[in-house]
Amino acid sequence: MQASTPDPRGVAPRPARDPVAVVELAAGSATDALTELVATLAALPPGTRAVLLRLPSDAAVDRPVDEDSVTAWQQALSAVEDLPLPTVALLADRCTGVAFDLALCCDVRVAPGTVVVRAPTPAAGALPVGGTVARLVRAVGQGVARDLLITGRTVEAPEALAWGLVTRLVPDPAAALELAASLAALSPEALAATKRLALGASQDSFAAGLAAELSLWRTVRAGANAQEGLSAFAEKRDPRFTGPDGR
Amino acid sequence: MSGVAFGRHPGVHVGLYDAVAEIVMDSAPVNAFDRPFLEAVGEALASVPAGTRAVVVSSAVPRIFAAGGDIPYMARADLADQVSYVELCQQVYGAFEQVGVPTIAAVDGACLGGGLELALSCDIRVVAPGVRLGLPEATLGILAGGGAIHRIVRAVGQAPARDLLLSGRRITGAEAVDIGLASRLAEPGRVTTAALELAAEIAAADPAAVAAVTRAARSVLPVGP
Repeated sequence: MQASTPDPRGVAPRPARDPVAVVELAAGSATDALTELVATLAALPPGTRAVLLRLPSDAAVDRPVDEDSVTAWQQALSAVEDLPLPTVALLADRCTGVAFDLALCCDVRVAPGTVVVRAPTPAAGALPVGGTVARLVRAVGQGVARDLLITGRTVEAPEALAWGLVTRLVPDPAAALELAASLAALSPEALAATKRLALGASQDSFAAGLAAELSLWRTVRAGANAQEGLSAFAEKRDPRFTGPDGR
Repeated sequence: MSGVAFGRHPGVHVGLYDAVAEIVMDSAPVNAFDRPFLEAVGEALASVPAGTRAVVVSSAVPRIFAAGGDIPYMARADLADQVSYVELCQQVYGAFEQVGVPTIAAVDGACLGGGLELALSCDIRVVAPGVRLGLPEATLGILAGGGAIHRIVRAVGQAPARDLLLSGRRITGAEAVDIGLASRLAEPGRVTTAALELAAEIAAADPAAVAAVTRAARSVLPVGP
């Protein structure tokens, strides 16, 4: 273990060269915060294998004001969604505004049991731009999504969990970090391939999807990490997967 | 019932109850999907007689539905051989989604990896509340290549699917019903009976209409905008 650095967000001290990048959304306008977030994610250290994105309860609720900034939002949110790493969103007590948009871009959404979620919608004084409409429908299905988008209703933890607005309730932020660390310990290429296929599954044809699953299965299986995982299972030991930095 | 011990493999039986066929997996200890077993499951489905109006797939192994692929085989076999094995998985699972009658998975035990891939290929999943379901492939350094990535996203949406796929975590049958991964609960020990009763109900409806609805539902992309 390398020397620890104090964590300014109060989660826990994290080791240097941590495979989990803990990223926090900046205060200020949503557009600026998104821009800064994308820059941070583009500059992650090479050994990063999972991202924990901490979303504030007072996230900005401002929306893009012109066509150019709508485009910028779309690109920023897609950049978060398309990261080839597992992403864990840690919601605060309240998830609205740009925090809601960003949470939907993450693979796993964890929240405290006190969480209240509200989509940015006209009823909440905001337009769900940047891909949030499509992401919400793909996340939870039309049945729930259209209600949330049209009415702007607030959703508490039990319903949020049942519908998938959050995928897990956690007792404290440390549990979210533990989860991110467990994802960071898995095979990066298996996760990247699975994530890419899963994202594609909302829009590709089933036949093309099956062909892609087979093709990526072959690519991933040819790698050393797959051999390690299967051998470890057969030998009844814990696997040790290697990241792109060789660690 | 006219029970038929399916001839080609000792671990696969076919039971016939009027217009319902039950494919019983009975390959202790875990119904591992090695190649001969999977081929036999596929052949059993292909063997159901004309006039069958619903198919149930179940397990006779206590506390197990099916625990997935043959990992020791995958750990040692050469790549081309394994790719043809994954193709076989896609074919056999896919057959449960292409057969002209509704298919029901009776999940009264652990349903993991290939086991869940097979269950996801069925139209209806009946589960006991305490069974464990999951796709642990990512934790083994591989991926679910038999169609399950696409099927689980289409069944439950991106929200629970990406969490389950990337973490490989197991959930209970009760949780599976909460998120729509299964649609019916039955008491432990009663799951297969409940699935057969459901199949008999389906078999009593107009077969042409049932076939048309089943085909239509399978062909829709359910979660797109």
